[in-house]
Amino acid sequence: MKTDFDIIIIGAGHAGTEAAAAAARMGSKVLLITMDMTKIGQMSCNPAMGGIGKGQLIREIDALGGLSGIVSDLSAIQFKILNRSKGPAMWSPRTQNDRWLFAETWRKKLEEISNVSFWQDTVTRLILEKNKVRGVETNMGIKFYSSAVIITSGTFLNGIIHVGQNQTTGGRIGEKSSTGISEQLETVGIKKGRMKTGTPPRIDGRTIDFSSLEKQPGDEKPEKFSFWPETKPVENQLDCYLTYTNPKVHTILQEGFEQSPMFTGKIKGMGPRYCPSIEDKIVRFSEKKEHQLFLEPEGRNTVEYYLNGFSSSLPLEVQLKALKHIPGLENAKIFRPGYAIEYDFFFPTQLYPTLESKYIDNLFFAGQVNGTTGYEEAAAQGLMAGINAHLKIHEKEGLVLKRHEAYIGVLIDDLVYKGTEEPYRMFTSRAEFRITLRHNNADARLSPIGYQIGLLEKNKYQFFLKKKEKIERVIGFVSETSIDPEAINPFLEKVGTTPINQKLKIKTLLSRPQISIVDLINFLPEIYTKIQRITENDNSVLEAAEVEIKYAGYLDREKMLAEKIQKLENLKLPPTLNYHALQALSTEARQKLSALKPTTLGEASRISGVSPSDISILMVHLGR
Amino acid sequence: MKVPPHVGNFSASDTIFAPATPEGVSAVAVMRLSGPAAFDITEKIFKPKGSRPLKSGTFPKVIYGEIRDGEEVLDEALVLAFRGPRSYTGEDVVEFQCHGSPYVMRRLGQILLEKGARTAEPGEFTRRAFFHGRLSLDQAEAVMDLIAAETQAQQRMAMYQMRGGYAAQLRSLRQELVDLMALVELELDFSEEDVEFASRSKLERLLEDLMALAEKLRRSFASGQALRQGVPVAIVGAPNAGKSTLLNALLQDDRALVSDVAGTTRDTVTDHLYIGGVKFQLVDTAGLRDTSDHIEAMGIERSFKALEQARIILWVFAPDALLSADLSEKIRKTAAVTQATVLRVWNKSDVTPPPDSNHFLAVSARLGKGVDGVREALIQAVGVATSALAETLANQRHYEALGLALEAAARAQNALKENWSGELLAFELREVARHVGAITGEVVTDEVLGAIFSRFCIGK
Repeated sequence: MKTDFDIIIIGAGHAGTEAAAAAARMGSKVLLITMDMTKIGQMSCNPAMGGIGKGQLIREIDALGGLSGIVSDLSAIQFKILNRSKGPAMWSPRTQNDRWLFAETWRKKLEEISNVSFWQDTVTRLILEKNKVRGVETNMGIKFYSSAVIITSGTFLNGIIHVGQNQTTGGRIGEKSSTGISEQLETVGIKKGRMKTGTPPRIDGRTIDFSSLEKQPGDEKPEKFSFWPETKPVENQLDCYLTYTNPKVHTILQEGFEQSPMFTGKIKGMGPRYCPSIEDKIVRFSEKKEHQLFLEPEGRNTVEYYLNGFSSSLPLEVQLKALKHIPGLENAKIFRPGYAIEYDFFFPTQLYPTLESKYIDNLFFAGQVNGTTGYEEAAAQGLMAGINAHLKIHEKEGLVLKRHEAYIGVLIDDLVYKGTEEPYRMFTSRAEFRITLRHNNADARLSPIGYQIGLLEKNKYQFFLKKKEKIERVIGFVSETSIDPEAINPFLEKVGTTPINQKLKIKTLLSRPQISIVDLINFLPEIYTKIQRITENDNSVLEAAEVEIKYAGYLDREKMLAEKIQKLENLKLPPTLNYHALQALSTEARQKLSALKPTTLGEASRISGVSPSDISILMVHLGR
Repeated sequence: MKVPPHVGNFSASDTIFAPATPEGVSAVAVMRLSGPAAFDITEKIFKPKGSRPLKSGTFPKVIYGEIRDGEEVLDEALVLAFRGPRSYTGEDVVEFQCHGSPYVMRRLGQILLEKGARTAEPGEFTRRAFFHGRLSLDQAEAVMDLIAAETQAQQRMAMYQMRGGYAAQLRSLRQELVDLMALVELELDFSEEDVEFASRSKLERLLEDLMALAEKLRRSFASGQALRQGVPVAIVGAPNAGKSTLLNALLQDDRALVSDVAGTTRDTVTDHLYIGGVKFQLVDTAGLRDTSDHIEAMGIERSFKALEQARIILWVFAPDALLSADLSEKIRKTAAVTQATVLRVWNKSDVTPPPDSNHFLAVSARLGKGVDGVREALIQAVGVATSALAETLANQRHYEALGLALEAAARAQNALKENWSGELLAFELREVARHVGAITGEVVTDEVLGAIFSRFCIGK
């Protein structure tokens, strides 16, 4: 049996699959070890990909050459752009997915990559040589050797599942947890913490009364995640449904609190503030009489529904009793209860921005094990860990995306410098350059990078270049072409903006908020024909050109700000700097700076606990 | 990257010195020494007359003794010793109060160099104070202003800022803004969920408050600027009205050339005058008349320039030197545009009293009569009681940052009014917070610090 590989990946969830695909497609021989071959690419929680801030991550993964976007498209049962009423920076794509098809598609995609090998087993120990990882040892006693290892263990390290007073060890309900790695890593000085997350009950769709519920359909003209032509927009979309809790439901749940592991102190891990359990919501927002709940289909060939918003670790009978009072669920049966899971994570501040451990060379960490929550956050890290592990063993410089380049850059930068106390979830407000980091320009931001590092295939890159050229030509065309008042004034009056009295460039007109490029050219058949000749009827080209024109002012200002901030990045902190000798720094800053050893003043400024005045002190120290 | 030569040895390991008083002969001169070796070095060169030990006991302390130059006594001096962190710089500090001889100070410097101290970089004492947390950034900036203060009004302004001043007001408004911004951000990221929205009316009110304060501070900048550089006063009038004589009378000096010949002053003459703690910049101008003399015409052109820049116009009339209606109209118009205060001075009142004593300040510049009245009128014309001057914005960097904050705030208001998409509103609010933060020290950028520390002078 082959036991020598370039890179071994432990875990085959959203992070592990992306890591394996990326490293293998860049040319590394990869071994993917999973405890259960049938659970590759499993959606452990909600059957959806994307959403606000998260949809942008998927688009970025896709633009770099990752596979999450493609897999999401191929398994989609609904597509929606959230926040359509807001500006393009807020538009956020989301799919509902067929849970089984999603996992099947991931496995198929991985099996198509000849460089990926699989092994079903549990890793119990890393093989270390001094401060370098050399491979892994499994439960079956097999030793696999490699130049790099990526840990993407999700919630499986010392996982404990809570349903009411019931506690079982496990990584997901019905699946074993994993021990050994955590304990071994602690002995080399890597610090771990505990986190908690939860999932709601799954409902039998045959027992839901949909007639009283508000339908939540997908977009009329669905788009898709992937920039590449290998996927098509979803057809025959399924609906989600909206229902609400009420005071009666809250009372029932509250009666169960004394048996809740959340409130009896059994769960010690820190839960996500932003994706709280229903019991958390009732306590923290006690003034609210109702909370939204979404019923989401789990797939095309099943009656199972996911009750989004009802994550709970209350005893089964309490969950059942409360459900009876929710409109539409009066007679509902459930397939499995909601539960909470506690698991080990390693403080991500112990990683370099390449996601490599500062303690053990060539050991990388990605996903929930770094303290994040969400498939998209995990997949983004998996992709970057896969890329960087490959680059590292080929002695190439690592790929670190900057905060103004990608949400992925914001995510990893936050994790390794700020760290996180609770499960970290992406928000658009975490990005300083939100208007630049749009879902629809992820390809323009990242595809050249993906191609340059050898991940994005040439044909996709050429496809991107062609689109880019089309966008430029559309912008060029509208910048040069003027229209007569007589031709356009009826349109201007119709959309409620002032008519013009002399010829005006189309571009100038487009800067008016009331005017959209599509409406405008639809009104001018001649222009329409000319522009469609450029775009070859690709509406994403029109949309991209329009955003660049309408938001040019903001984009320029963000660019200026990025350049300003970049100056701090250029101020190098000497690695020998003894922060403990700088008594002027706050105690917390001294500790954090000594532990994290930022390489630039910019990095230092983003470490939590390092205040602007600490930064001024460092600047003065550097002689600025 | 621009790196000064002292990188790496800046840290507290060095002991630095510099004279704390200006060069030249004086009664007393002070040499300041700061750093970890300050006490050791002092022990080597200073012999106390009594038995008080330098290094122990209570601080700060004053010791009388001799500064030794080898076998000889360089000077008898008082030593003030401060134990860090309770000193200006936060380090051990020794101040030598010597006799104010340039030789003694020079020689003392050489001795300190020999014993291992080094000359301080410009602004290094204050830099160290800031570095050791003894001063905040805006306070450090104020110290610099204080040192440069020439008048009481300037000193009050600098003291006000050093004690927190308007930064505290801005800081609390900024904090309120940041709190509301968090809600705006929340709306954006949780638009699919049922979250509380930021109150638009509260946000509008806060922006109004912030803008009002910023505008007030920016308006005061002109007066602050005037306080530093001197309130510009233009002395204008017809040729031979006695403008230069008035200037000299105000200065009690023969600064400007005077004669009976009309048009003696062909160029503007500038000098400073301090009255009641306020600095004035007096500009004597060429007399205004229609002339064919090319040089004189150029001088008159400059007179009008001075007129435009003046905040106070001393318009000198004399019975035998009255302006043409055209030129008078021009002065009035200029003053109306620049909103300068016009003081009408009736000169040569010893010869002919003014036609209307309510309308004119009666003066005889030649005899020095009525000049005090002009002084008083000048002070009144500055229009601000010195106590109110404290809240004046005097810092160029703050002025610019407030300007940027105001622009962003106006755009944010517009975003609210026209109901722009939330991320654009958030963008503008972030800008406001960033620019205000650059004043309050909550946002630090390279340029902020560069702007501050490049302005320090040696010794502080």
